[in-house]
Amino acid sequence: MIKNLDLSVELFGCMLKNPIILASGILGTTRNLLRMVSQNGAGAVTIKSISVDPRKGHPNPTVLAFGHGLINAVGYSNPGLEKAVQEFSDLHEIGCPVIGSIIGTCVEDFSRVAIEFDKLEFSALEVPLSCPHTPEYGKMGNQDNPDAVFRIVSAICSNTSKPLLVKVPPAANDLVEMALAAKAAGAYGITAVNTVGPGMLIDIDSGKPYLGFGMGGISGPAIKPLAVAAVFQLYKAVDMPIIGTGGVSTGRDVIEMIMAGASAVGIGTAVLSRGLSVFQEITEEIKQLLLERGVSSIADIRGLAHEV
Amino acid sequence: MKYDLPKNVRIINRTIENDQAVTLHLAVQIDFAPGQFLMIWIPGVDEKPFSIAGSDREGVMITVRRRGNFSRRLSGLDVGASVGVRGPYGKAFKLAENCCLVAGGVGFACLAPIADLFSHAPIFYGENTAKNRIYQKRFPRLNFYTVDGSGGKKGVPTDDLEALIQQQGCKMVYCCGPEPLIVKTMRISQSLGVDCQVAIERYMKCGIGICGQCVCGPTRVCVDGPVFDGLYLLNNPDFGHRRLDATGGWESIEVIQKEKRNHEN
Repeated sequence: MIKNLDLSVELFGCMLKNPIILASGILGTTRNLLRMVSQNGAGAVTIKSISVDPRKGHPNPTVLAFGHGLINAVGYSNPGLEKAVQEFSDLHEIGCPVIGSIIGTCVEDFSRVAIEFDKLEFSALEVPLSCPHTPEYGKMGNQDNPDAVFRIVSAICSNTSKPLLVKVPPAANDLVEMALAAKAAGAYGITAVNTVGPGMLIDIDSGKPYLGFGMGGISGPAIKPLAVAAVFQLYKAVDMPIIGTGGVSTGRDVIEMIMAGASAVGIGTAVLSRGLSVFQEITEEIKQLLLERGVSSIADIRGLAHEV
Repeated sequence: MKYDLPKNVRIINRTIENDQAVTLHLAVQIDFAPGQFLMIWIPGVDEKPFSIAGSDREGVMITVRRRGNFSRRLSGLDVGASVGVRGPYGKAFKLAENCCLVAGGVGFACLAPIADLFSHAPIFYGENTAKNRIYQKRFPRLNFYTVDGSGGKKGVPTDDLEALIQQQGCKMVYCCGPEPLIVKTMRISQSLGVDCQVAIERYMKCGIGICGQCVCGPTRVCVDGPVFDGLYLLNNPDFGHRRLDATGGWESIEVIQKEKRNHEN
């Protein structure tokens, strides 16, 4: 293990021991699993998104590995606000900052969850306004545009003082406008990006789409270039912390995201390709890469790709 | 990254076990070890996990007991129909020949490959009622128990476990079935200082360790299990008590068992 190299980053008023964050929707169902991920070395963790009412989500298959990453249409299954408040109590026991993810179909829903989450020990909140495969939510709920972002973020920020991250879609024409709207409405930062989609894969034997919902969001190595470009564009245009998420699976990928302008990095699909040890391993890889380059802190390389 | 999409395979044989359960023989060679499971997909309907219940030169078998919509659809499929298959997934049993098997209900399916492998191993198998018995022809000689006394010995399969272990000096107990039965088996094994491995069930979605739906304490049943060391599970905070439902909310194991019994009676 390489010591004497500090990877800690300050984000939403917390010191993260490293910039690696568990992305929402991966393993974030229970506090025990969050603690497990924390013990495996994550700098922060994000819970699976919570709506006011319980949701069963889409029928299975909901998550499939297709060779270049994952395609998923989980459909926001979650136990609803009341049970979530019980599950995600005493979060200081998790061992790292925890981000609470909120979904809703209308401004009132977001506010209701925000009011309850404000009372819990979440270090920050996140709102994904970009899911490509759930009716009434994200893209399918017309939430991925600057107007909707402004309305939803304003509502949440008027009900909580916790820092809010807005998760945006990749390859959107109005990506920068969405981030500016989020900032104007009081958001703290941007998580870039959500899964890409909708995407679809069809089983040619049955003639049916593989996913239970048919369409889904694509994640993993296939989407990394889209995510890096989104982070690059946002860093240039908007003065807000960015969590670079999308296809990150190695220390090199993390450095790449940070050079594009990310303050921290989200990990999701790499839990499949590398297992739970991915957090610890990537941290070591980053240290090695920084040492090789004679760099002593993450801040020294942030946005490096923008220098002329 | 892995390529792991369901592969369509044909049903080549269908054995009616009883009026609730069938065994489907799938035309696919799978390099599996006892305890592992497959995700079985009916295109356009749903996909659920099933233990690999056995294999031969033509393919692998799964046993399906009707519980809900999916198992009703799956168990109703005829020879010649196709299903999607991905797997095998999960950790397998560590094999020890000097063993005995404790099976409850359709959990017997998970242990059946061990029974095939070690044909002299004693089997203790229980059902709530005799008409639910599976594998009558495949395993005709075993110690059969029913809760209502309608067949075999009245009682549960752990009733004679302690005596047998002491008589025959078994070194390993394998168990799969309802959680109260597993807990009982683990306790007996622990008190006698005998190794015990059990296979458990949780609501499963991805099967590949990503979605967090099958969590049991700090572990994911799909990749860390479904086979666990009995001693480990005795200290697991969720095992025997609660599991996540389809939404991700907790449901009580005790309530589930009660509902299942009412449904069967």
